[in-house]
Amino acid sequence: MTQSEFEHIAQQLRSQMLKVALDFFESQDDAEDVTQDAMVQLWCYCERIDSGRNVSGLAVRVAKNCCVSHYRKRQAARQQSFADIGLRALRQKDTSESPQELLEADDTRRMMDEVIALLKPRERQLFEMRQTEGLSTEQISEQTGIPKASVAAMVSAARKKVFTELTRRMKQ
Amino acid sequence: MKNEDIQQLIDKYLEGETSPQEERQLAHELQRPDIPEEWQTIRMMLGELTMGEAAYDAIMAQRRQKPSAILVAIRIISSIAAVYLVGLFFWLQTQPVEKAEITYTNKVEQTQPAPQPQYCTEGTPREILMCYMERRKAQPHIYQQLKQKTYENQ
Repeated sequence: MTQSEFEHIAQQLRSQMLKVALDFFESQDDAEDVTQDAMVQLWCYCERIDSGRNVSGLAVRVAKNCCVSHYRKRQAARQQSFADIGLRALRQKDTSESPQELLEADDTRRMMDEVIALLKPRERQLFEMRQTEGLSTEQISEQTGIPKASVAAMVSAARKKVFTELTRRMKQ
Repeated sequence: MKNEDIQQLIDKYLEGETSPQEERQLAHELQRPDIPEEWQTIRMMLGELTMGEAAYDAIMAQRRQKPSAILVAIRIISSIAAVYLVGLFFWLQTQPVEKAEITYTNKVEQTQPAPQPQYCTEGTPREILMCYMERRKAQPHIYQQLKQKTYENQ
């Protein structure tokens, strides 16, 4: 998806994401913050998606993921506040994940990208439609024109390959 | 969910037969910290978006089940008030009625004004007229009856 295509539908996607965030936080300020982050993340996903695809489902998934991420950060900060001595320490404390966790997340993401790159193009496309966009077999069949049974078979083959390769790499 | 059920769901996932909803359920089950190494690979494969969506759904479901503290407080206060009112009602039912009547009668006797003379006979003609007018205002029904009788006699 190109940037201009994304900008064209950005307003609509933003309102969808804002609704998800408002349902979760019930505070306009928090919801706006989360939506802002979610829009940036959504653009990163959309860069890898083909043009002309409906990304509203993906937008909702990204928004939910951002909501949970913010919620966990806040919970962690609250727990720290009990342990820390004063409010000053809480304000100065970085509430994001630790460098170790960020490094591990980056490694995992890189490893997944490398393993997915080993798949055949069609398998990769279907795997990502299931994993990233969260589409059902029926939806994938409608969008790609591939029969449902074939979609399930190709997704299965892709998943088994990824599973075998990831297990091998993790054992090393 | 038991470990055997989770394993069955994983097998179904690898066969490409799971629905997005089942995958979210699987993601929810795999968020536990003490899962086997093999299942960690599945967690990676499900991806952060599915894991996040499962966590979102779980938090929202938990909120729906758990009422807010204010709601709980309101419910407790209204329950106590209801019990108190019911108790008060039954207590009033058990009280003797006579006591209330006696009290009422005493009060009425205390608040009643001193009896007035039957006729206005003393004073100047003007004072007698004023006395008559006051008595007429105070007891209009008696004077209406008198007026009616006078009219009938005529």
